[in-house]
Amino acid sequence: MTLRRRDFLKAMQTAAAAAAFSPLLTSCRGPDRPRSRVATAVPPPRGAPESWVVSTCGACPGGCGIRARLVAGRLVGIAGNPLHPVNRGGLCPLGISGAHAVYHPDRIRGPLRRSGGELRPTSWDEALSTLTARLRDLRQRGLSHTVALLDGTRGLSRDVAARFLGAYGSPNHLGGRPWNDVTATEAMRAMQGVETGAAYDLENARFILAFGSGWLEGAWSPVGAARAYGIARRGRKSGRVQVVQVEPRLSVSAAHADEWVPIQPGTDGVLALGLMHMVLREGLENRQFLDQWGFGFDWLRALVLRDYHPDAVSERTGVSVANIIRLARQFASTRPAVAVGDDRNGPGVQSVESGMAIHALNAVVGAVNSPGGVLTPPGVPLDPLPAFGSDERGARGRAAPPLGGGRADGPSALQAWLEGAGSYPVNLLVAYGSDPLAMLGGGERARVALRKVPFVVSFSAFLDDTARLADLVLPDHAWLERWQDDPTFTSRGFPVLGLRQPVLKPRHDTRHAAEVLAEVGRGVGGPVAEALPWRDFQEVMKLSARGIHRSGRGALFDVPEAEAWVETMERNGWRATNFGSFEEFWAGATARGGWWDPVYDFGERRRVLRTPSGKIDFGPLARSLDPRGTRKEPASAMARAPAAPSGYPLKLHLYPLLFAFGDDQGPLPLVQDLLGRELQESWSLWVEIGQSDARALGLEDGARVKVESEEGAVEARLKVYAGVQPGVAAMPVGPGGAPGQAWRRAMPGQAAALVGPRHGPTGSASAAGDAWVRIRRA
Amino acid sequence: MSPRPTARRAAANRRHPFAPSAAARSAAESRGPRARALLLAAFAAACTAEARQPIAYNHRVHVKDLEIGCETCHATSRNGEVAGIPTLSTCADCHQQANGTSSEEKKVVEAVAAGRDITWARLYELPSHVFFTHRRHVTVAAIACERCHGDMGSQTRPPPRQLVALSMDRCLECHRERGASQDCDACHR
Amino acid sequence: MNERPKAGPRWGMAIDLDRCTACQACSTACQMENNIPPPTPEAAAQRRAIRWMDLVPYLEGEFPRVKLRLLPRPCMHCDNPPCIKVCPVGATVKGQDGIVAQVYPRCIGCRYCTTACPYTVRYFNWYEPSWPGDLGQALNPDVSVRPKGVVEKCTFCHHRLQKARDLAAAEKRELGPGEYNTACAEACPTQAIVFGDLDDPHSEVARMTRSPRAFRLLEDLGTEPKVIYLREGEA
Repeated sequence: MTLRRRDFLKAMQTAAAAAAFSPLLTSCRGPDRPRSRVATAVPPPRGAPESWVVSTCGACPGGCGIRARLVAGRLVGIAGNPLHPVNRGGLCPLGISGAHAVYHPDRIRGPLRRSGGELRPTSWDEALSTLTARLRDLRQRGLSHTVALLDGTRGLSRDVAARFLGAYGSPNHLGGRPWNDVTATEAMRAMQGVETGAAYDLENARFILAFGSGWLEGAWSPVGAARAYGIARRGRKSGRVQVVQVEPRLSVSAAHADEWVPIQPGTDGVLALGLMHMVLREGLENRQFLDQWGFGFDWLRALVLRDYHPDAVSERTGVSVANIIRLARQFASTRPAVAVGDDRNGPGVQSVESGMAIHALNAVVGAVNSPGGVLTPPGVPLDPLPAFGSDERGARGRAAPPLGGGRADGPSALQAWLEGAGSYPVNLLVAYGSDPLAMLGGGERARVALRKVPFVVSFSAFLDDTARLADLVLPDHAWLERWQDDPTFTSRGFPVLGLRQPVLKPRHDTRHAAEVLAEVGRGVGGPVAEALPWRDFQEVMKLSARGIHRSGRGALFDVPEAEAWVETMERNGWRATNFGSFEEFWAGATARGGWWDPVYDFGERRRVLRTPSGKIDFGPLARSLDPRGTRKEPASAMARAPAAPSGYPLKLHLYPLLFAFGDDQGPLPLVQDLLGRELQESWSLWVEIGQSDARALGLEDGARVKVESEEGAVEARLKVYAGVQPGVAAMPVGPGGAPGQAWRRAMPGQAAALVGPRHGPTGSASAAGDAWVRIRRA
Repeated sequence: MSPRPTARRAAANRRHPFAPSAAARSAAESRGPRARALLLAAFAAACTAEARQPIAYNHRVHVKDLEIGCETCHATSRNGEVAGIPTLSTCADCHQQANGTSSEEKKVVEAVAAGRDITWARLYELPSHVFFTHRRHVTVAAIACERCHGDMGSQTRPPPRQLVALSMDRCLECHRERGASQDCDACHR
Repeated sequence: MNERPKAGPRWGMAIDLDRCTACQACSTACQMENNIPPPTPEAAAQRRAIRWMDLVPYLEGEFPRVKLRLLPRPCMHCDNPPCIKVCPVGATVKGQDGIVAQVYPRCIGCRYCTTACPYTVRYFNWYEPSWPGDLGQALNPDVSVRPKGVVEKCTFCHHRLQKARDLAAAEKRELGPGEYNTACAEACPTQAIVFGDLDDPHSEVARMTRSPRAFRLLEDLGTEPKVIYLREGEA
């Protein structure tokens, strides 16, 4: 139909008339109604009462302080708490999106129970009595050890879970995250005998040699690490820090380094030993430190000098000999220098052996327990919860062989056990702050393994992968709705206790998971009931916080200027506490966000070195490199390059995405969108290879491809990225998301399905660094 | 033909936010002229929509006779963003028992006794893209309430619509007069 | 509009790229503060996701000599803005304190301004904004919700300026330093983003603009941007 001039003019008139009535341009003489046409979202009314509540972010283990803004009872914004020493007002995207986690459409609204093959809503009474009955039954039949709990929480909720299992009679309190307590923490445990983990004093370092991925994007505390970086770059008088990043791909962290050293995946430890070799050859080691604080170094020295010549190291790692020599000199002659080996957020890319090698490198230049080096933060002086009694059943249960120990990669240990390594079945699994199915890749193999457990319970607030196959879901509050303690430390090694308090009432019919555990324990009866008398988690927090009050140390959070005051006072033996009675302490801590002790005593040798020798023990590393002690030929897996299985030519490098690790956040749309921004990717899984490899495979940027390993396969988008070296395929990894949720997690966990379960805390060759893949068009 | 029916009909043909949907309109049209007339009446009513208050509050008695200032009931008109509509407790100060014989007052006393908040209909509601605070205009600019709200103090019944029709033109006129900012972003957000 | 002699502040921003870690806290804080609807995968695929403060990647070179730079990029609030010149309805205006404002009720969605802006900081609402489930509960009451069909961009959180000025006027005093800060600068963990009055010689932002590392984007176009970057690397 042709448009005639008359029609056109008429249409214009009508349009003009319509526009005259456009809601935004006219005002009718009547009640002035809001003109917003957006029916789905209405801001709170004007002039509504406003308040701010101080709390601690619970989106990741970093423990930043937050202030939540509430208008008319609605959570409308989250900002950082400038008084909190970890973040001093800064935040990361996870914390900032906290309100979305509370109002998320995929939150579980009440307890669910599987019946007729589906999860159906049930009452708390029904749910808890079901669980209690099962637990009682298992205990009665002497099978209490067949109950396992995967625990991704920290602090007192972890203690409550430990008490529950201890009194109940199970040795199976497992870590809830696949990359929990590996590398630096394990290395310090082996070499120093301490459990607390590493604090990298980056603010005071002049040279940072970072191994592995994402220290600036993830690490122990994303905001803490970023803050220290900012200070070390431009925020101090002692000059700008030099950063060298050793990593298989050009990550965001590597992009911010002064130099990026590409390295073959999984060979960080080899390079560390190669650097150590050069430091020793050129006599640049800190001899005084090693004599005073090192034990068994001669053995290690002999091995390193013999087996880690730059030529061999260069061949293994792909780093040129010239660079190895130069880096070694830079590292050893710029004091203070520190090597960061904490790959905590990575899926075991580094083995513990690598972690020990990096820690030893630090020791060789005297960067352990010294300013600018690796510190051992003291714990928060909390009171331990009162001891609890036991009965015969409990004792027998606890004596059973443990499923993996509390320090292992829990989900992997569980999978290996269920796949046949175990000596008894797992009859009941509790996932607390943990999504094992997603963390194991969410694929068929993991599903088959977990289906062997007849009864699975999840405390998740969202329908994550594990909750979807669970038999019982007991949804926890969102982190903004609950009381919790958040013990952590700053990069300068100062212990911090952040307090998390509810900023608004729970939105749905959820309950605090630790309180639920206690109630179930009371239902089981006997010593379990005695071990868990508390109905209110705040009670538990107050009980243990009395220890801080009694210690007379530290101070409630205050402005940055107060830090120097507290430090000076304490160093001279005075108290600098800004609280009187315990009530004052508690009121002040909840109002300001928490307590800390800004003093690190470098002379506390006995606290920091708890090995039998009282020194840094190089034995475990030396033994690992030379297990038969033959001193004849290298036997460590690190020294030999594993051969690529035929048909799988590309070495796989899995790297963690910072923001994919939010604890019970659910997929957050703003976070989903920003993942992969540096590559202009988002919302779906991708695999990165270099230009030359892409050309050789005949694939172009954006092609849909299939990535296959001997363990599994995934589909992904191909990204041709100049920041990936030839022969390497890099993929992001994070907990997966099930279809049907409002937003999928950007990185379905399938990438983790490409590597097998990692075995045990000291497993080395089984680390993901030795996975191989092939890529072809899908 | 007299102008009014034409204007009404022309108005009925145009899309208006308060108008019934096209579907309802066509349904009415198919039922004949009577239905159409009713619909037009409804439309007219919607266009000149009136606010109906639950209680016929008499401003004059309170403001002129009892000399209660605006701020006593509209508590945040001096220091807040909005003027505020009185809460039940404000009314309860005087109306625990009936002070007169008015049937409207009886409704208030009942509400006070039951602790039931009175849901007043709003007459003034600015769109979300406007930034306006009473504080700035009442306290800083010292503008009398009557300037924008009209002589509410003399009203014996709640007016069905704003006494002074607020529009952006009116605001700008006053801003020009008094030398206040006329930048778009002073008031738009 | 209303040209009065310039006595007031001139708001600007400095971003130290040597402190920035590209964490995107600034982007997210901006989205939450300004009621920007969360993007969907479909919108993102069409590059229609709205991010007033965006992290722009620049990749140069080939392996192993590769350089990846990541630049947080808000609206430049140019002193000589091209967008204002092309707007047919006066929906975008520069206020007397230097903020380039967007007046949503006037905007007709012609998108001339998005084309005219050389920094691509302007975003068009291609979709009706929606907040699935209850996410709309978290809307900031101080910022309007834009309908489909209008252009929006970074406002230097000027709703916060409105509130701060209102408070200062009620208390009969001038606006104090630090009373008005943008959401991005507030959230930044490394304090890489600094906001303030460029005309106050003692302000942190003015000090940063005097750094030998300072540069501005596309300076040769004559737009006079008021966002100054400090180059990473040694001074």
